[in-house]
Amino acid sequence: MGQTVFGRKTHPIEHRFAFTGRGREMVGLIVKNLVLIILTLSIYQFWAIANIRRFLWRNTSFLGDPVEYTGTGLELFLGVVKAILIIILPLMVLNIGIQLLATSAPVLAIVLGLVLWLLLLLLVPIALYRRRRYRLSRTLWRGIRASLEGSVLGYAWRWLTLTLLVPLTLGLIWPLRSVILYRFTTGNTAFGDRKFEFDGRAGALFGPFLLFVAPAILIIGAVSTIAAVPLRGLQAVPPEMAPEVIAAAMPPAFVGMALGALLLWPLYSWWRVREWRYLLDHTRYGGLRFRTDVTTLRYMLLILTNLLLVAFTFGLALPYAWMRSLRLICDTVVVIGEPAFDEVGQSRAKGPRTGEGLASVLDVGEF
Amino acid sequence: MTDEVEGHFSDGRSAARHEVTARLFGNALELRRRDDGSRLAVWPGAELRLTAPLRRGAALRLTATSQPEARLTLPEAALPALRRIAPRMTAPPEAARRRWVMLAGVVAAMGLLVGFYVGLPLAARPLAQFVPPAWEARLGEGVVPSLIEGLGGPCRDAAGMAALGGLTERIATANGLDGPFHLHVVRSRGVNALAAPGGHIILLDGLVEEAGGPEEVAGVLAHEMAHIAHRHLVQRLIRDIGVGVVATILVGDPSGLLAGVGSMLAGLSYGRDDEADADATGIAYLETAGLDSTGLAAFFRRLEAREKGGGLALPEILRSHPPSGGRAMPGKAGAPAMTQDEWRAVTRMCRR
Repeated sequence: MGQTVFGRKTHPIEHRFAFTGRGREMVGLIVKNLVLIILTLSIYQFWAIANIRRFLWRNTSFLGDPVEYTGTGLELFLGVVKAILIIILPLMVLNIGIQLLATSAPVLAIVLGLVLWLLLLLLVPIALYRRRRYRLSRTLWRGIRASLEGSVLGYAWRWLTLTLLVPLTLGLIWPLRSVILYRFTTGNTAFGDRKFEFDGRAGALFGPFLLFVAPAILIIGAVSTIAAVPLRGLQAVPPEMAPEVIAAAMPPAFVGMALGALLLWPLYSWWRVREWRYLLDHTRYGGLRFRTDVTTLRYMLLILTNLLLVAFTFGLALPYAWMRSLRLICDTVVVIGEPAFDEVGQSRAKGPRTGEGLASVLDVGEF
Repeated sequence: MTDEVEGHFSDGRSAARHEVTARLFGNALELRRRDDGSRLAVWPGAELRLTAPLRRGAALRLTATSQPEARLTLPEAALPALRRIAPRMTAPPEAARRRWVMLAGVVAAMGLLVGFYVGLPLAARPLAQFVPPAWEARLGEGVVPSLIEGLGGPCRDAAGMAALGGLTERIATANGLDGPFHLHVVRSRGVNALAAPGGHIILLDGLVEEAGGPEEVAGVLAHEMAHIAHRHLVQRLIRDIGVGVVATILVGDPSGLLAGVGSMLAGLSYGRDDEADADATGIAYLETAGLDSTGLAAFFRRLEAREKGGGLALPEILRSHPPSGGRAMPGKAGAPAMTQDEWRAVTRMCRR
């Protein structure tokens, strides 16, 4: 027998990922995990997550070779314990200190409260970056590890500054934020001893962003104006009648908001797909380039069906939804070029010893 | 594997894929490049491991313990031959050895949490001794003024305060309690008394009005002093923080921890054990001081009777002080807690 390299026959320079996981296996895994989580009073959740990831990783393959996940539940559990001891407990002590100062030194308490709030906000990017570092260090392909270099704080301050600037610039900074953060993470992501590169510019994303934002503002403006019409009469009526006027205005307002959301959703999805396409188009690895064939409609269908799936199973089918997302990514992402994997050596980074505790504690979202 | 099979191999040093021919070589598996016939590896059967569980129709993914970063892919048909040299290899990594490690991990994690959950309340008492009284005092300074204002504001009648202060002093001196105790009477119709951190005792005027005499107030006062002397509040804070840590691990929600002392102090209530302890200790305090100690039991009996009679909605003090064995302790007769004049002053503290 002989395994031919996928894709080579159809197109000389394009390769695709393949996803081979079957829904039935995933359901079995979810049920098994659920039983064990209940039996162990939820401690098994860490091992359950590791099981799910192992399944998702090994069913993803490129050029006929599967990706492997080598992380363990114990690493995840120890990560959470570590995060609580090192980060959450000290913050709690700071919080208690602030409450003690509240009456004796209110100004200091307010300043410290602001510091605490910023620290908590700063923990989000730290958690995100550390989680990515852990996951990549536990991801293998052809026995070669991936890794994430770069300083966590370097990412965290960029994230914090750019995120705080979002409301200050009325959201206009968003494309710049996306590009800077993507450049930082992608430029620090390596497979083996070779890093990925990103050569995109935020300027190219501003046009599509305005095409999304301008109609969005118009829609929001129109909906709120129309919804507010019945409320205009509020000034004319005596104050004791006000609740009735407001009550009468409620149903049309809700209908208006629902209609607005229905119009905004495709618009937003279009922007997200556009952004993702641009970022991927400008990503390089060695001589390889990337592309995605995903369309707005496909993306919207995935989100909608995943939402329904998760909602109707009370969240139990969440891993199933991750699998569907991963399958869509594998279906649509195209690697362009002839890979020179002979030149890619083993990663020298060993990776963190315990896993993503902070991200689990802060619940910054999976996948 | 009749004679040899074709597969592919990566050596773990680079991501190159080598097309190989694999054949059995004694008790080992020999891998040769298909293009130039050079030998890439010889893996003894005992070293062979699967990197993915077996699946019908899927290729075999293998590695060797001596070369853990190398990967070999062989067709499914090679399995019977491989089993001859590596009978134990059939177990995928998640099973067998790693299953025991995982089981041990889960059991250890559960043991740790259960131990923490059970052990922390037991450890809270000795641990509380390590919390400096100065910290507790700061905590009290931060919380008590707003608590008093929130309840209805202080009653500052000098004669009444002197009577209650004298009583507190007598109980403390007779029992060798260091204190310090800070007494506050609050203008509130609630029938309740609280022990706050830092030795603050807050008596609600409603309780004084409801009490049948100074002995009953003395019983409640001694009870609250026992809470303070035994540092029940610090113990409770330690327990709550411990429970918060466990809950954060189990549920993944740190908000309980980060909410901090504010919410923990909101109730200022103690557990059943702490209440029973304070009941017994308070009565003992009064007896040591030579005072009448029948007041506490009398006070609760009367409140319960009135509640059953429908005369009074469940008073706060019955809600926050769950019934316990200590309530059945009748106490002993002794010297009156204060003079008639002093008692009159106390009952009139909040009248003006």
